[in-house]
Amino acid sequence: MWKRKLPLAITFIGGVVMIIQFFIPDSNQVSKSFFKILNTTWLPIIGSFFIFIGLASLFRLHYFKIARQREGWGYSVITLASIGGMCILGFDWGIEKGSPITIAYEWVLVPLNATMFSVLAFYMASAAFRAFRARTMVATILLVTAFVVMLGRVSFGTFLWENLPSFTEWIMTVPNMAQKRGILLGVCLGMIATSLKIIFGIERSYLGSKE
Amino acid sequence: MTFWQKLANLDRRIIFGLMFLAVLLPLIFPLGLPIKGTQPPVKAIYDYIEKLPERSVVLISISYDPSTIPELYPMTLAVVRHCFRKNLRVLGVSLTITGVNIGADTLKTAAEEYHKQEGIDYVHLGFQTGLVTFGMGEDIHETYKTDYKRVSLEELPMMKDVRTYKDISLIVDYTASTTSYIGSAVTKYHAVLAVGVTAVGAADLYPYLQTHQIIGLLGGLRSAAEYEILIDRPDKGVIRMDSQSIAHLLILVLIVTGNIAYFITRRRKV
Amino acid sequence: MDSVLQFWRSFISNILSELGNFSLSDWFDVKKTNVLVFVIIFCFLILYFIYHAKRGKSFFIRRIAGLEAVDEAIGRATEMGRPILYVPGLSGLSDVATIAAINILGKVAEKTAEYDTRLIVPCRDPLVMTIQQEVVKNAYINKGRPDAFKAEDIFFITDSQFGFVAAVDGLMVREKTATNFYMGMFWAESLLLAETGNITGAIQIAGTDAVAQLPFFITACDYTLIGEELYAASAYLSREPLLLGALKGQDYSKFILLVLIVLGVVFATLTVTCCTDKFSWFMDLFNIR
Repeated sequence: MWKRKLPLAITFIGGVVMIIQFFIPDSNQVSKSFFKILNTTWLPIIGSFFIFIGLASLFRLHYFKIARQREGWGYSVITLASIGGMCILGFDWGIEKGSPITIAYEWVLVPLNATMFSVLAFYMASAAFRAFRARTMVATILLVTAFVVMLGRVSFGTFLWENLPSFTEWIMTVPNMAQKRGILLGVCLGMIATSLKIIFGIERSYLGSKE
Repeated sequence: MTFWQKLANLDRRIIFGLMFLAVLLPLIFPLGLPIKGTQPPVKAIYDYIEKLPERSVVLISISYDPSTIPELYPMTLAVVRHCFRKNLRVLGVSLTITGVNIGADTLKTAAEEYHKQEGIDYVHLGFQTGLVTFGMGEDIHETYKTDYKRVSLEELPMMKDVRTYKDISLIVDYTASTTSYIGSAVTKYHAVLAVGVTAVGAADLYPYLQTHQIIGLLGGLRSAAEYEILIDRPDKGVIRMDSQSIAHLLILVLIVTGNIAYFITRRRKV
Repeated sequence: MDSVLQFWRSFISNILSELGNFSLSDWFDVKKTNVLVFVIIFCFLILYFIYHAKRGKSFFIRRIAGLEAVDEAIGRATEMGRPILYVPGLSGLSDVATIAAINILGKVAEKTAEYDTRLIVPCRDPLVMTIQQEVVKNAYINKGRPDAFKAEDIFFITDSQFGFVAAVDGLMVREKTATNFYMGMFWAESLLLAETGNITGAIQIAGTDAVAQLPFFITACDYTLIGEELYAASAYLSREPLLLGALKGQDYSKFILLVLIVLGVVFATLTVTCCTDKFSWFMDLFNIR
């Protein structure tokens, strides 16, 4: 019984305390102390423990893959070797500029991340080519707006019409902002409702198994 | 398949190849396309920094990953250069682990150009877990305790009179998507915030710009290029705009071509 | 130990001194009264409709295409004999979208248990992964198929954003998934996932509250749940009275906001056109500075 009730109680108390805390003025010393405990003690401790959970899960997954020689087990060896290698580099040689771990970061991680992000440019081109077809009136409006905004954001826009960048800015600050605000209102209300359901224990999926 | 049908269903690989050339060639053979005009949200940040008294503190928050360096690093460097040129003090923080080195690099690069000293003219606090954006509103020294090189903040001359957001004249948060400072620094502690974000994320921040919760917005590479022109230091932002312009043009040509092919093939079916 | 005790002593003495010199303005920020009023109204509406839902009143929800297609998508994967990929977003449990994604995962897992279709769930957050393993396991047990549950199909990859995306893209191409679900919080990787899924020919259903990523999902996916439709999914799929009641309360709150927006637009327009200050009280009602 306590396996279910205790997390629900903690969620309820935590949620209600944070709601009440929002309405307490910043000058209140109790509120300041509470925040201090949260920021300098609890959250750093809990945050640090997540690393161990992640590492344990990763090791378990790849260890079993290697042990059972499943398809692609060689990549698991590389994964575990990379984790171990980076840990050794960091612990032994430190993290200052010029250390092996920062060299690995700058010459391996940064280019790899940038490569994946740059794939977006290609995918965006192919998605735009496929999707921006004037099939309906709404699709045509979307197409024309995308056209105007893209032109307005680059140098060619001013060659065609000197006020195009200003018109683009108008599209961003008026129609775009209106629809963003509308979606944001809906999303925020949905978020509040879901959060209230979690606080009051109506939504319990985050607890995992049901009894 | 007719020519128009083939065009309407153009192989992805051809599109990828064209995009590759569109991005690469202007980097090798710069076109020097002019960047005319400045968007008002970009000018707003520039004007605000211009009006700050000397030795004011500007908080530069790096909340992005290496993947968005090409878009966000030029604007980060441009603003930091502007701050150093105006003899302002710069406090760097990072809300992501991978942003620590990016922040350190940015501050060091600009500091060397303007002969600024670490600890006196700029400090980089690095990364910290927890509700950092709230913690800094209460006490920066309690939240961070040391800078990213583990030097105690009490030993740094710049940090003697910098304890909360009240001592910071402007926060500039660089992020790939959403900013964490609006709900904390702006709403709770009434700090002044400007945001530098990727072009995709910029559209989301216009509601906050309109309500003056942020004073200015740098959205994407074009904003970075405009800011570099404003501070009269054209750099990577301006150089990369050629590629962006040609890439955009290519997408527009592809869209037009695709639509023409679509209408022709549709008419033939009918 | 001494510093910890010292801290707790000062914390308790702060509480006592604040209580000793109690004054409402020290404990309640009057500038936020309007927020408190709205919170009370909102909570009241939700609890009111939950109360009625518990008493058996039925509520109508409009058709949401993306959720109607879930059955069809799972059926397609079963017929083709190919697995289903469920990406629960890239955020942690503190994000409400992730909770919504976990709810939907439970429902999808029940269906895959029924149809004996393989369900692959790659995770970016280790804590989310442990919960999802529990949720899927529970779904399989509920459907009487505990033997079909495979814990290794719900796994942590990496917390690196693009590392995760690279792994999932590779998974899509190698496993040739027939159906892809993208539910939860996404950032720049949304188009990378959706376009790769499109290339492999999978049917794709996405749902996110990340407004910036919606255009990419709408372009590349077959069905997209926009913003709050993701939160409504758990109520929609389960048809549980409590969840439906909460959804109804949310809808009525939105209606109130709509009325206030219309009034605000009218008053703001009159203020500008008639050059009068008569309606500034209405604008001030929503000011918290």
